[in-house]
Amino acid sequence: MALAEMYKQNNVTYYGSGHGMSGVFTDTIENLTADGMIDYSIFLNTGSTWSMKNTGTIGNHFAWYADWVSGVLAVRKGPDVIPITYLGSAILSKNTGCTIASLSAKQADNAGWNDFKNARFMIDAINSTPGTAGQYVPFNYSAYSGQKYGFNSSFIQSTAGYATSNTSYSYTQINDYTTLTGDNAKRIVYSNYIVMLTAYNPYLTDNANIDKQDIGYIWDFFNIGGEIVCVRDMLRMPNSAHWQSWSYYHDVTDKYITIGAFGGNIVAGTQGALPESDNVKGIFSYNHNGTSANWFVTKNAVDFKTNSMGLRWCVGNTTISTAKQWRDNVRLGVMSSSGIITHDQWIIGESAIQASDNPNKNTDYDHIPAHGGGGGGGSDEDNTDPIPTAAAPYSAGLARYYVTTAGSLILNHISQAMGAWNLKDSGKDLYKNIISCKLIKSPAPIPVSGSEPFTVYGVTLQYEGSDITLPLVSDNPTASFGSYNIPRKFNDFRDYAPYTKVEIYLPYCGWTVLPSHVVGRSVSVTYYTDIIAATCKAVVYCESNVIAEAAGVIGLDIPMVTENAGAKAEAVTMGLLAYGKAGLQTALGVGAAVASKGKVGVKSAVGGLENLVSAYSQTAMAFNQNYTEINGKNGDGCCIAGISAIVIKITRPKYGANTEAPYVPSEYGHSAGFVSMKSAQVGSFTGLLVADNVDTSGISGATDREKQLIKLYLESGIYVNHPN
Amino acid sequence: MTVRLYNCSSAPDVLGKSYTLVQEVTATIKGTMDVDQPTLLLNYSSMNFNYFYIAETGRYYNVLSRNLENGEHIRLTGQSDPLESFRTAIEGLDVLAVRCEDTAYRSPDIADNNVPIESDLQLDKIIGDTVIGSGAGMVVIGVI
Repeated sequence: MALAEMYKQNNVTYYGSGHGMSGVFTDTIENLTADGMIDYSIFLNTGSTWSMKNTGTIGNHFAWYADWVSGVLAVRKGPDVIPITYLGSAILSKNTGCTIASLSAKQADNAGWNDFKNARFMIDAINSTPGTAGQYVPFNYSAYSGQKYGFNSSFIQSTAGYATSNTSYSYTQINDYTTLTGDNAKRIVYSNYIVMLTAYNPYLTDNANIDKQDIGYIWDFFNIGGEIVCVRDMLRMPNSAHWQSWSYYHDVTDKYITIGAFGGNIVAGTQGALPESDNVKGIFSYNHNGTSANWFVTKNAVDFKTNSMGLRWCVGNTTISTAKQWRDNVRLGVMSSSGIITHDQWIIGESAIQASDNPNKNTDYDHIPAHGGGGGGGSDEDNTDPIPTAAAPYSAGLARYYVTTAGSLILNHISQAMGAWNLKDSGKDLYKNIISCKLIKSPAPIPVSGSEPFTVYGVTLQYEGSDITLPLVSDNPTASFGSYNIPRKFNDFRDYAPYTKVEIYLPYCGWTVLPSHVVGRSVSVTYYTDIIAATCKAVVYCESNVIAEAAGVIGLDIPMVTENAGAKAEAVTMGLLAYGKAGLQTALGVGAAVASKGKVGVKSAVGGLENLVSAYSQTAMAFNQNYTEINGKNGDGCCIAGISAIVIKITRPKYGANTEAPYVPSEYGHSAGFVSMKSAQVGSFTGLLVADNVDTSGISGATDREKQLIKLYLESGIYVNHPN
Repeated sequence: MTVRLYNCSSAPDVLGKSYTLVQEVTATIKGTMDVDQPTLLLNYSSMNFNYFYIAETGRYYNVLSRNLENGEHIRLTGQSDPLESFRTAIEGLDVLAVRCEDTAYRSPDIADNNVPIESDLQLDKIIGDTVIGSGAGMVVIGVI
């Protein structure tokens, strides 16, 4: 049983009421040994003291939760009877290079929880020698100097008493790790940025092998003892900018849980502002086979609740705790308690989708469907058949657009759910209410606004008893690229038309000729998309001025076809599939006949081939009630075959090897002169000067002939200040 | 009148010619003198000049002809050089330069059809470093 569910069963209001947990646990956490967690201890700190609430029988490790505002709950796995006061002290210690002494000194600081509310802590969840003050710092970081911050269970394992067996736990061996040395100093960097939650799972030799650290980001994980996640799994927070690199697997069957959480760089980019209370709810997917290509189920209603650190969470409508699935790869998208995604990544499969508002806000634990429940969903034992669940008719009257990753199995789930839909009894043709299905390769991530159950014609589709949930498209993305400098080559008129031609290739749109004045300037490209229409317009800017634009297509329709073998057979029998007018007429007749039965509405049975298809489809539905198959392209290829980058092509007159040298005759200026069209006094020039329409009236003393001659000279060319 | 005889090395279309004095001689007017194209009789001295200046007219002249008469005199005919004669006034003229050698007054971006352009072309290419639309495609499903 998931720990969260245990809490629920034990009436732990903690989950439903945010993080104000002071005093809450005193009488509520009971009988935790009843299901699953047979080797644990629960401790509660409600402000000043610790009390052990329950103890299991066997165990060799523990993990624990903390509420940084008003109390600490420690869940220790193991037959622990230790005074946990020092755990509290360790928690309270700011992670600023603490030494054992300083940790000990903090033990009296329980009253100062609030001081740490917005601070960042590191939690070390491994205890030390029972009853020995100052020995609750678990990890010897010096062993991983410069490499690993956190711990490595293989390291743990190397010490006697920390074997992979869950029966050989020994407190005494922890004495080896009572000193923070060496890289302990590294922890300081986290104190202002992150929450680092650590625990370990000695069941697994390498489950906690962290090979990275990110300053300023949440980067660590915690293992809550195995029950919620899986004893062999670890949970990690992927919102580090480098979370992708955490492709950590123990083996193909032992997986980790990935929780989208929030860290310094995620929460609106403010490293120092963590949300104080966040309910995280999102897609809960797991991988059965251990490869990302085999995501086969997505659960919603995973309620990940935390007070800024991912400390508190629960799993609602999932089957994660079953033996079958607890080794699966789990990933969570997250949202805050206010319904806002607190970071910019909503993780679905391997893709990150930006998210903003999420209507599923303030999800309370109590409102989360019980495991296996929800509508017409299945149970633990029977949760493999996708069974859509009828819901209240959708009455918004407007289309809504869901989005998911191409190749996502969610599409298959939808297909299967629709295939299982009982058309006959419901009279609702779900297929007809899917008004579009497009494969889009947007130049920018598609903005989404949270997620909603996938609802068609008022019917919320389910898969394995859980709503199929998808984010909704919230806006049309724009994306800007560049700028790209268009260099000059000749530094004269040849850099422009008609001598030089500048063209730009815009992915999705093709080639466009740019005006030649872009030479010597920079251009940028902004794509404005219409996700619904799967179109885009690429606008080329030059120094904020629009100089060109082109339209393109960013997606293609995924053909969706309903087929029904039974209908086909019936249709053949009835001659519906005969070609030509006879077939059409027959179709019309059958359509009309179907309509008359009142099973499903045939809106119109007149017209051409479309109506034939429609009649066929309607007839098929009437005969067989259910879709048997919906086919549609579900691949990744799309619309920008060829060059997928902006390319600028500049065609110029030929120039020499010295590309910077103007390619003109050396005596060109002296013999022919460069174009000037500038006004100045004759005496200011040097060399050849050819003037236009010279006025010589100001030359006193010259005869008319001389003035004419002067004019002639100037207009035909003279040499001024010539050395010779 | 006094005539200064020069050797001028500059071309006629040069404003601010270079010349060196050969000799200053006394001349008499031969008949009626045309200021633009005077004819003078010089006491024979040298034939090695091609440019002269008459102070009375204030003009420089290019030599049109010089003929030795009776072995005693040179008949000299010149053509007024207004560029040098009115050099200062010309240098002060404001003009619109159509073409010039002086790069300070050059307008390189104005098309010049006199510049030879090779018909052969050369291609430059700039490739944006951002690959667009390379990520996973997204499926957008519209429902009502």
